[in-house]
Amino acid sequence: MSKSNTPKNKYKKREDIELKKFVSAVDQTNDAVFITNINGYIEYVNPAFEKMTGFKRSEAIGKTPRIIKSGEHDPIFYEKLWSTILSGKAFRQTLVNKTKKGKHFVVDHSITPIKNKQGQITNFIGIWKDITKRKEREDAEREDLVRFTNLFEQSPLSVQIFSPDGETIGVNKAWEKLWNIPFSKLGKYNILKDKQLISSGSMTYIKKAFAGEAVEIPVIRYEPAKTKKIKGLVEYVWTKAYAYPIKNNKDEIKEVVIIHQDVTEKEETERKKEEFVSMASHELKTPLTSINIYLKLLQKSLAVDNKQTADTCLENMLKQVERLNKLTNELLNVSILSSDGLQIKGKHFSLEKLIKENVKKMNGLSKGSNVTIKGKLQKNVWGDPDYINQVITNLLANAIKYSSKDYDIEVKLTSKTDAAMVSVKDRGFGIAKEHHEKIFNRFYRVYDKIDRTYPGLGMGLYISREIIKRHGGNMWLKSKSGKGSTFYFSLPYSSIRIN
Amino acid sequence: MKKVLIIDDDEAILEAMKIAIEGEGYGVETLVNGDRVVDKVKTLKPDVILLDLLLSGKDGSEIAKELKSENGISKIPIIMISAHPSARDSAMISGVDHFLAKPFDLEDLFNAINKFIVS
Repeated sequence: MSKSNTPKNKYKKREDIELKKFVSAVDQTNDAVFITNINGYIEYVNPAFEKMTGFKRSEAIGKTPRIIKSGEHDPIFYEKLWSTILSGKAFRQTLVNKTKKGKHFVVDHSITPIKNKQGQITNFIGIWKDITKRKEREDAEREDLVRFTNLFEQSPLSVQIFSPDGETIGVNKAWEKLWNIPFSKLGKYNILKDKQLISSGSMTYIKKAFAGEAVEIPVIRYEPAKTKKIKGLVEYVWTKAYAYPIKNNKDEIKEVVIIHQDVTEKEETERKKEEFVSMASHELKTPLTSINIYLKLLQKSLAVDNKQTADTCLENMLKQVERLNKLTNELLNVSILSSDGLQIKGKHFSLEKLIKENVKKMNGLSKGSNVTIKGKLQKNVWGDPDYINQVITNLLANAIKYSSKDYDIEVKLTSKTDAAMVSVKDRGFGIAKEHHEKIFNRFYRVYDKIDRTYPGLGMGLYISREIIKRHGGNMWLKSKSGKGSTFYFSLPYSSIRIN
Repeated sequence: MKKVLIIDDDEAILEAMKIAIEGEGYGVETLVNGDRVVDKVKTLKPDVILLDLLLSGKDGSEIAKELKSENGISKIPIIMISAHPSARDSAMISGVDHFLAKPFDLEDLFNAINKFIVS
């Protein structure tokens, strides 16, 4: 009788077969498996462990798993690991390990105590599932999410997201900046019920977007307070918008996005330009009207040999031609400055002399005038005398224009370290603070009705400051409504190249 | 002598029109702004008013409306003058009797004045 036929041997054989199967399974699994003794010294590793860590079985056995420690986990982590497994429980965690060559890899780590029949822990079995790829994918997804959130939040364009039935779902920071309220204050807002968008004609476009089409919404002036009263809301915005639906892979509209661009400044400049053109043509037509009348009168008076009327006509026509000349020069200057074509023929000259000549001319021009000069300039300045002359004429003319009948204007000359400073002070009705900076802007006019009494294109200050700036100087003003104004400019002694 | 009142804030135009219209044998009064126009018109009692649309202080069409709604002077014909040809419609709405765009032909001005004064 052979041994193998005894029941005990039979059992042993079955155990052998199962052990072989088990070992073969452990050898072939993609998960790294290692067994340590109670003290943590490795007694067994499978081929997947060798592959994952780069340590050969012979190199790993007798060592502790410390050989693959990445340093990414703090001591508390290991304390917890040990206290868990020593208490007889399994420890599961995501673990960052390091290969023999030092490359990090991420595993789903489980370590389980193995107990003998008496319930004492004899070994630990560790199993690592390599999740580096999964981790990388998750990180990439998280990064994508962060990237798209930033893309949304940090866009300079206002973005507003709506549900398919028109309710607001979310907005970005630029939206809050555009309307000057936090999203939390908006409350319920359904764009499809916005009456202002219906009356402005935008709704036709918006509805197209909700029906599945990407559209560009023409520029409108939107007054949010007309739709919703919220404290702090911006008064109005000129906005250009795009709207598009976001669909899922079944082609169903999940959301509709509206992107706004604040074009208020551009639109208002455009409108000021239009106003300017309209105003300029009016100003040009006024002397033309007079000339037209005088020409007809001249014709008539020549026919009847009325020399007196003919002379009056000629004299007045010359005045009107001079006025036209001034207006067209002003227009020309504006266009030269806008196209950056100002040619400065610079030289050193006496600014004091130029100012004195101008003041003398002004004082002689109209009765009751009183322009006085205070101070002296020690040095010559550098610049184009023709352009600087224009600036002085303009400032003096303005001072006279905006003063009361018996004007009293003071010109003050001061020598500074690098530049000459000139101020022109009038006792006129002054300029409110809100206009101080804007008054130098192109196309900007203080729309007092009084302004109409003083014909002109209102470009004088813009032109003057541009000329001074291009000479390396600056122009500014001090004024209070009702208390007169003082305009200042500085002009350097030496040439400054500015681009 | 029939009297024409000209209201325009451009003194050069005022003077030119004054010389021209006086040459036609009318009396001419001028106002350089829109202040207290109704009172002044009541005193001066002109036969025709030439009114510039763009005035300092007050809009020409506002003045026209005031004059046209004032008893005693509402029948006085008003000829509105503007550098903006596009202002014709709004001028006519404000109740004026005639509109001339600047720069206008002197003959057209005379024809308009004569038409209102004769009728």
